[in-house]
Amino acid sequence: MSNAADILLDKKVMPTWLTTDDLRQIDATVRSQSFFSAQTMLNDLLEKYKDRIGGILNPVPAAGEATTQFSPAYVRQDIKQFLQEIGYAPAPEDAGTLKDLSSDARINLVIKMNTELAQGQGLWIANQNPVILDQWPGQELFRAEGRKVPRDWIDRWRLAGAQTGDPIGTGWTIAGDLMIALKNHDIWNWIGSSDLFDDALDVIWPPFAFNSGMWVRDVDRAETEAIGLLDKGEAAPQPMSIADALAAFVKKISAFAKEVEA
Amino acid sequence: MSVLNVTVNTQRLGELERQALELGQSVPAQLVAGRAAANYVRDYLFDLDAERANRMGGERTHFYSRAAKSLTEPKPDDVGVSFLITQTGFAQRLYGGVITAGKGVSSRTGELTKYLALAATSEAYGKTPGEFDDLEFRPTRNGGMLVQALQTQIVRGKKQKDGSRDFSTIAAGGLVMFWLVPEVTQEADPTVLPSNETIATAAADAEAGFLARHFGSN
Repeated sequence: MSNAADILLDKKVMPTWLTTDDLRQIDATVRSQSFFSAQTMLNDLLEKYKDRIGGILNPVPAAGEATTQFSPAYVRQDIKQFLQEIGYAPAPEDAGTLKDLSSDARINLVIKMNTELAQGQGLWIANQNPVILDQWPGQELFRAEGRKVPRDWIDRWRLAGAQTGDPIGTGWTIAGDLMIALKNHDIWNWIGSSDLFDDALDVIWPPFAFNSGMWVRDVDRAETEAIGLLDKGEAAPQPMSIADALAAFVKKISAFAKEVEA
Repeated sequence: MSVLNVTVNTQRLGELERQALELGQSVPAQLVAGRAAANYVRDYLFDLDAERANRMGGERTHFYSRAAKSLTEPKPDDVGVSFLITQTGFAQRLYGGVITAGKGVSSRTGELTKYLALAATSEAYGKTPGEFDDLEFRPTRNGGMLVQALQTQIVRGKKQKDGSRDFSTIAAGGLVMFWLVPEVTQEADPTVLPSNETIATAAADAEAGFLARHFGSN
């Protein structure tokens, strides 16, 4: 299943009081199968989000209906209206902040992150095909959307690459200012890991961090070989199942956490 | 139309398709052609996102980047391979056409819309009228406008030597936030998508490369 709308549909709503930091203690596999938002216990709100984000991913209006209902602005307004109807009011000190469930900032974040996480996961799954991996064995991390205060992703890339134990040029590299690695290389376990970066989403697909403007694109075999990540004719990365990939991710992260504690 | 279907007719690739069939590689070759076409369109849309910020200068919604991310994985079909761009409004921009009110539900009244709301300021861009609580309707000849309600603000003057202070008032608001129109005709913009020819070329190049690498054919 690589369709983003189906991926979202398959997730189970998980109301939780846990904060973003606490949620990171939950197994990545469980999180990838759940729909949640930090400190949100309102099951109906999560169900509404899931339903409306599903509409953004797969906008199918009834006959004669308008499509505006599937735009993020109308979804945001619908969420605000729902919160108003149930009498939600933020604590005065939280009003307008990310802790305020009815703030633009919070609603925009929930919509954007969940839409993109489903799309990123779909792309990751679609990549796990031997033909695709052979033709496009590499993947570039690139800035798809500008930000007012962009993070230094080259620095993060170096840090994530160093964590893999592979020297630069072996499985991952920086070619000019391009961040490229083999698909399924260990660097993808680290670039979105909260063990290295406080704002990471603990995923192995984009957008990797909260409100990130980064995305990934295919790098074909000729370019992957030209920059030395593969020898000519060398076998492409092996396909992985999502269960195995997430299990490997959790194992790495746990081992790192123990190392840090020691 | 809420979703755009892009089909790459691989049957038109002629000789390449024949070779792929002979080699029993029709499905992998279609997969490669489809992914190459999808990648080409995705990159085009990401570039467009960098070039075309909204003209009003409001907070960016990254429409074209969202369109790129909405692109589905290509699937083989009767004529070749197809993928969807599921971003709402994308097909409308490509093909243009008349949009009329009365199909959606008004965010303010809960009834069928009488007007379409067009953002008039950068603050309104990417938002709906229902997200503002201080808008007043003012009729115009062909529709109306939603205007920020006027508010009186008190301005404190300088403190005088005798300790007294003057106060004056100014009116704030009154800004037109949305124009309301019963229908709008959007011009088609074929430049939001690369041409069929360039998409097909990207697909053919990748398929030819795939066949050459695996089977030494050209």
